[in-house]
Amino acid sequence: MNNISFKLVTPERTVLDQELVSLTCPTTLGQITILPGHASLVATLIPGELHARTGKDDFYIFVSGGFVQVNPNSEVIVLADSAEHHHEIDLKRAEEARARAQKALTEQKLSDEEYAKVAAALERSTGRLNIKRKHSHRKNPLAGEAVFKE
Amino acid sequence: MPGIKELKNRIKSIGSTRKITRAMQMVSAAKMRKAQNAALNSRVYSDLAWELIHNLAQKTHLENPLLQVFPEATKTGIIVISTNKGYVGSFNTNLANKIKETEGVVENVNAELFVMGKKIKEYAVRLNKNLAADFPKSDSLATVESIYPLAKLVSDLYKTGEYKFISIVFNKFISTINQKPVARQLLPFAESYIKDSHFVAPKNPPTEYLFEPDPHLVLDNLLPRIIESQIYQAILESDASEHSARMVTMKNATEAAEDLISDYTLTYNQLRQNKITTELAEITAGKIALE
Repeated sequence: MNNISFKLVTPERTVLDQELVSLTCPTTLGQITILPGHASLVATLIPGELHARTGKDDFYIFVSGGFVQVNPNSEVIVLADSAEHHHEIDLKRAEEARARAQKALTEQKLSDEEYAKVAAALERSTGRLNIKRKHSHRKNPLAGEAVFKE
Repeated sequence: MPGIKELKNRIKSIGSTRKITRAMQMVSAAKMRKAQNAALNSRVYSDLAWELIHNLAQKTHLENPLLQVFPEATKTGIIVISTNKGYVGSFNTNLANKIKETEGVVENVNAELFVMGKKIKEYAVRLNKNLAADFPKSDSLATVESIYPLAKLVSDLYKTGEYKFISIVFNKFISTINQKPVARQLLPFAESYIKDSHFVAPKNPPTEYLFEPDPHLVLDNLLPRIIESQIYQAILESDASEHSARMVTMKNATEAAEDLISDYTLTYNQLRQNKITTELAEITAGKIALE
């Protein structure tokens, strides 16, 4: 049992529940990679790409912020605000969302709160697009197995 | 014994009531499926978040206003999630009983209610309870943003140090025919006042967590999120319970209407038959008299 038992959950669903050999995730201090036997840790996530390796398959998942928690016995839990597999990202929708956010930032007068909200939305949609573009040639590693659908 | 015409009218009016209750049953059934899915899917998240915070809360060296305990405080806050509409059976009565129970857990404290949903507000006003805040409850699926004000209010109040504990009372969804009123303690994390299976017992020895970037920043981000997620989960559970309860209540009403209709129809037919028999007898008697 030299694997990480990994769970990625969002308020909407459980996105991934798998044994992993390593996990790379974007935190406020930069990317960190967690290997089995990592010290207990709690860190804040920023929008970006989460890379999970099972040794056989690779998962590229967009997370829009949240927390990563490493427990003893190589148990890793990611509590994400929202998360999508790269093959689930809708390119057209993400592009539209980014265009909307950019437009709102440049054109409208926003209060500080609204500005932060739109800026965060822009960051999220840009992150989403980058991941989609980067991995668009890849297939869904679990295609055919209805693992992510309820 | 009601007359024939009266019976006919009554059958008709019960028939239209049945139509209404059946329609409400269908609507609730559709809403119920949606609400149940939402509640079940987010349960994993809120449970994991809850576990995490209890693992962290045992560290006494962590400093955050929300991690403090105020044993000397004289107030307690109870958040109650109810419904806007009735027709849900004993849903809100059960809730009211649970509030009473929660108020009495700790002696010599003043309970303040933070209500969500019209029904429980009416109850609080009627019984002259100490109503601290009344939040509107949306009839559609709740969004996370909609609970920020409530979460912020209770966290800010807790930080003042006047509250011994903050709890949340709602109907937990167990199955379509079973909902259980529960009281959960939201704050403080470290000490349990309410007997609650949800309270996570401290692990021994406690795990020492590293924090990145540093404990303050992480906790400042994490604690409000966890309180929000618990309140949000409570609303989802309550919604799922509400629609399930209403669906079942309406189903019972429809069935009761059907029973009544068949009863009345039988009586109506008997009366009608009696009338025909009497008339026939009269006609025959009249004919005999003429001969």
